[in-house]
Amino acid sequence: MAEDITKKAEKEIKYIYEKVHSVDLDKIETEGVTLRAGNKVMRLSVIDAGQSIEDEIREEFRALLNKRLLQIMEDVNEKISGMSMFVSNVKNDYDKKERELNKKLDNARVMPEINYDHARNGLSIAKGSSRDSIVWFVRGIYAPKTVDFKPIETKFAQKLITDIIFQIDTVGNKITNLSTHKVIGLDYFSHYHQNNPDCWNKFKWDTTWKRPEDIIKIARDAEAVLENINSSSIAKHSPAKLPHFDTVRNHINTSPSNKKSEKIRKEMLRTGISTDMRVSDDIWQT
Amino acid sequence: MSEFFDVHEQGELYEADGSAPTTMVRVNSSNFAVEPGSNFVATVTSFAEKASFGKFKVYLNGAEISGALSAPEFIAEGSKIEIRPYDVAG
Repeated sequence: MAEDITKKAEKEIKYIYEKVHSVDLDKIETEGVTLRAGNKVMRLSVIDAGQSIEDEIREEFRALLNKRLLQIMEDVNEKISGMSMFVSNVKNDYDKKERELNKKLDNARVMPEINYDHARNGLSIAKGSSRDSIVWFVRGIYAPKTVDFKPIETKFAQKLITDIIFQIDTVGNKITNLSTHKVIGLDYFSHYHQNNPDCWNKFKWDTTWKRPEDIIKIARDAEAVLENINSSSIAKHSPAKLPHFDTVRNHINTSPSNKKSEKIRKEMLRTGISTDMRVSDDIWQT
Repeated sequence: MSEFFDVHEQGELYEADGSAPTTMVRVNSSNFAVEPGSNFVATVTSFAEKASFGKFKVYLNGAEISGALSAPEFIAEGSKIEIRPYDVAG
């Protein structure tokens, strides 16, 4: 485009030059040379056969005119070149900004609409590393209550409760990964079925999502899955900041009289979370 | 979708003729007769507690009920209710 402007400017300069060069003193015709004295007009006649006075004056004017025309052409050339450069610079700036904007648009992602209710349910999001990818974070708790569906002593189970983040990765509408993380730093959360990433065994979640609620549901289902420790497939027997699995197994409740579930008291939670605060209209729990 | 109603496993409680009870709850492969008209959520929750389920899934006549708010108030006669734990990790 800048090249077009230069060519157009050159064309305009050429046009102006042609116009200027078209000024020809020879084409200006006079009716001889006359001399006025008051109201009298005297016509001069040639006595000597040499160059006429008219020709002499014409030659002198020709030299002066050519000099002046040359000066005008230089001025015009300079002005048009300057204007052409200015327009080219403006155009270059415009093109550069347009390229930058297009690049930004290419990298832009339409983020899902997360409202206050989603946030109340512990949902937040971040852009993923690639186009159309989103990283979803759902706050939750790790609260194992049973080993092979045999209840863990309530007071001991309360000590296991840990505040965690469920991370769900999506690309477009595809769900690509589910993992558990620490709340601070987002390192993998160490638990009995954590092998960086988590071992989910038979637990399968939907492979696509349409609404943020779908993501929250997957996290809540994962939370429910982790309520049971599967003794036949322990990935870590001694996860960080949790008791050794053998210790947990020693606290399996074998007395039927102690089976009734007790409300978890806030002061007994390690992380300050109260399960009473959780919104769980769409899940069954005792 | 529950697979239970296509499978005739031995349950804990059966009718006199050996068939599964008409109105019943199934938990951990056992069938329990329940009284029609009982409170649905209270009954289900009670069975889940006895089975030591923290969070669990509920199917009514083969269709999953997503939560207590979606459940009927009372158990209708002939209802087949199944309570299932979530899948296991590992």
